[in-house]
Amino acid sequence: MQIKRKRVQAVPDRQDDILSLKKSSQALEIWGRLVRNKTAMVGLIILVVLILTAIFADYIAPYGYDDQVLDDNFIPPCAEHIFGTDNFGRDIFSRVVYGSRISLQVGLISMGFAVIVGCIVGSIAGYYSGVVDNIIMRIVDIMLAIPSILLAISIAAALGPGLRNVMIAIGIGSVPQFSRIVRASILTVKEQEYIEASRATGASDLRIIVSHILPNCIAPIIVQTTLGVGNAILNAAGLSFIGLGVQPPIPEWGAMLSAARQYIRDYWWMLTFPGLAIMLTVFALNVLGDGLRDALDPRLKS
Amino acid sequence: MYKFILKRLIMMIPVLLGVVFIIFSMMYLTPGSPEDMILGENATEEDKQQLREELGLDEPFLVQFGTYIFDIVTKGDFGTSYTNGRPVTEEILQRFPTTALLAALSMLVALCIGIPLGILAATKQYSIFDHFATTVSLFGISVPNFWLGMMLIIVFSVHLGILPPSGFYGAEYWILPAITVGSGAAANIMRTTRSTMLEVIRQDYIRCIRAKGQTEGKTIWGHALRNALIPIITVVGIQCGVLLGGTVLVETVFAIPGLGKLMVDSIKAKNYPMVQGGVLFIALVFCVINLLVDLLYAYIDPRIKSQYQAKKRPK
Amino acid sequence: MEKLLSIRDLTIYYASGKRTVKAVNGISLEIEKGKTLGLVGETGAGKTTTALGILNLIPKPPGKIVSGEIFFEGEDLLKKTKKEMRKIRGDKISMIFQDPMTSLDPVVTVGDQIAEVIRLHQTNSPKEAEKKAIEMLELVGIPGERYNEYPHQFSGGMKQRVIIAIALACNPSLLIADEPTTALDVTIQAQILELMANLRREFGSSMLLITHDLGVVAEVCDNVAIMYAGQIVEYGNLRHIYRNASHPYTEGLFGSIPNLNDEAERLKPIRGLMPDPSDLPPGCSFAPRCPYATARCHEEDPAVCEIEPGHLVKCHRYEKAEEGEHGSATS
Repeated sequence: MQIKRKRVQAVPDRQDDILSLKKSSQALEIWGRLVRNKTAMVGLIILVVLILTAIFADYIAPYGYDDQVLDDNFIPPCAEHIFGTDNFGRDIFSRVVYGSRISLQVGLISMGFAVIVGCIVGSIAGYYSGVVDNIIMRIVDIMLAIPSILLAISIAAALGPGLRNVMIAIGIGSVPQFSRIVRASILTVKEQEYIEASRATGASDLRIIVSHILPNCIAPIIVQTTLGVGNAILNAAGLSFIGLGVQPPIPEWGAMLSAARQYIRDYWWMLTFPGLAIMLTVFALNVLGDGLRDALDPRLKS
Repeated sequence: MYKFILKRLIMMIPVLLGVVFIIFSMMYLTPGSPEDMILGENATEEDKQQLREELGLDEPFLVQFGTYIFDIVTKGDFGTSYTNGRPVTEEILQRFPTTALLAALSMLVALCIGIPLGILAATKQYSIFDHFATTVSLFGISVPNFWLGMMLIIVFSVHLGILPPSGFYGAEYWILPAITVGSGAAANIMRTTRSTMLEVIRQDYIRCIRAKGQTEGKTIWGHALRNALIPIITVVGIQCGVLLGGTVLVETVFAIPGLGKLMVDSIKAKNYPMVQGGVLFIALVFCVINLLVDLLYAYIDPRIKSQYQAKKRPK
Repeated sequence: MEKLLSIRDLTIYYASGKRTVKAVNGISLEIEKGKTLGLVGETGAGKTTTALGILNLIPKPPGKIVSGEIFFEGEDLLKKTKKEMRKIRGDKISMIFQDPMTSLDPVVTVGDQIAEVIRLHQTNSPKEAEKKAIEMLELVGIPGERYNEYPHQFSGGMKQRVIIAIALACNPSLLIADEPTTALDVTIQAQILELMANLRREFGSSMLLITHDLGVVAEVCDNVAIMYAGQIVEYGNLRHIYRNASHPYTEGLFGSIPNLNDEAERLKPIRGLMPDPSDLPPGCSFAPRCPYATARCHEEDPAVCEIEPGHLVKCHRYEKAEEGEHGSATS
């Protein structure tokens, strides 16, 4: 009895194996191309270090992010405070370390939101061309007519300051771009014969979109998301800088820069390190995004 | 061609209406009442009621929106500033030239750096110069411009003391802000120029031009660059928008009394008609820039031009 | 007869990653004044590389002219400075490229593209150049009013006429035509060939015609060089090649053409593919596909031998008869 059941299952099992083998070999090939790209690997390593920093911030940071020692304010970088201290005597290195949590959180959540909404909106527009497409794309055009940082500023101004509102503002501001990219890729994939074929077998629209169309336009979405996270971090820092973002004492990098601005003449370290942290993070994401684009579409690079 | 321009101008109207609608509804939903802002917290309930009627704040949303649009279209009136009672239009028009000049200077910086470097990197692909320029441009698109501005102040004003840190009184005051705002655009333009030029210089017609005995300089800077201009101009158009947005932050850094500074101050003061007017005005400028970019396409590429002309003919 | 162009032992490599693509391997050929040489071979045989080598237009890197001499009107082109080469290109030697669809700058009017080459070499006056360009347009059968039109407004055949006008505008002494008709419809092909033949006669230019079409060669050329894997395997005049094809590869080429007169005979295609130019066999490069190949062919590169006056073959089968004579690549 047992043996018999095993045999019956053997066939579909093996098919699954072959299928997953095929998928994994493609992923391996892309991974191989990415690994060979040295600059992209630098970006990936920076990013991994950053994520680890964010996760283990409690262990890495020598002080708490809001430990004020007023007697120790404005200490230049030294052995004890390698990035120096700020006007409240807080350790800037610790604040930068904790700040990585905020920035990554803003970047990932706002882009996650933008990707999900953008995929839904873009899929609907691309798949059901005609009136629906027209209405959606006109709305997208309208949103794109406002420079993205301004759109984020307006939304943040309307919602009021705070971490959550920053993420919403930046997320909404990025939806139009994603909708556009998803729609464009769907339009190119839609006419392919395998879509026709699955339609002929009676698959539902949702099933066709989710299991056939989206996987085939995933490459531009991945690339755009990587670059988008970087942009989101930049914009979030900008919002905090003009007082619309994360509020003190939360150690957001942009907010740290905003607070440090009035000490620009005398205490350079207060400005330098949070800014460097932003630049390095965004740089890593941009480099990785470029590398992913080349790895996912080798035709582009010749 | 004129019909095409007219058609594009007409197409701009619904987009702008949409922009007005989005911004207006966002400000409408904003918590906090304008009467508190204008009259202060100690005002009596009667005064507030009177003001609400004066400003039409008792009307339903759509009526308020209609009035707002009507005033913009017929009188060019974007409302009244809560903080000083002046017309928003007047304030914007007074501040905008400063921002426009800053944006134009920054774009000039971006073009003068981005295009030549992009071309050189492409013609010397894989050289040390190429690697250097590509890496620098990657940093250029990764740096927050308000931070770059502050670092430039630390280096050039605080330590070297050769350029003024803020204000705007003469040409030297523009140098740091223009570099700050232009750096991101320069990096973006450089990257696009490089990748497009790499594609163009592999084309057959470039080989043909060399076979005619044309100099390398004219082949690259004349023929190849002209063919690469369409993607470059597209990026320049997009960067104009980014740049206008960027001025908002950078004007704060350098204390330049432009539209951006005005908007940041207005946001802090919850002066919403000002914010609303400012965003709308910049969106309008951006739309006009996009139209100009489309027209430039036709000027540069005869194939696009004949497409436009073909559309003109009745079917 | 006076030699206009004489190439000796030209070798051109491309560096592609760690591999070296040996595109042209020590070829020698000559063109006499006013004559036409057909350079025949499959795609990838190194024909276009040879042509670009003459104009010194090999993209460097990755391309590199490893050795050889190219004598044109008695002077070695490979020793010329960049500036001197520019003076020669488009003026004394001009080239017609394979694909007319992509060979014209899409954003410049066709008239200005012709005028450009005239201004570079003949006159500084824009007016004069424009006048001459209109003349050239009409000479190739395009009304002068179309001067201000752009390439996308022209058909493929018309574009090729424009390219011919550009090539002949400065009355070059050598015209290199790289498969000038391959990309065109058959009816247009004949027109273009006729136009080229007429104009060439009028201008007295010599021509290097690169093609894989033996029919075209028979119509247009005086001499023929058969190229295979970057080497010239057979060289002679039309009669030598068409009546007495001696190299197994040339035989194979003729065997691949359908013959109307002899319907019973099946096509005799050459088996296999050209060797990878980055990994050429040690002996004769045709040996892997050659029906007559012996052990020696796989090991030893054959020398060139003259089997009748002016008819050179690079094959071991003819070496015995020509003992002691090989090595005379050029007669």
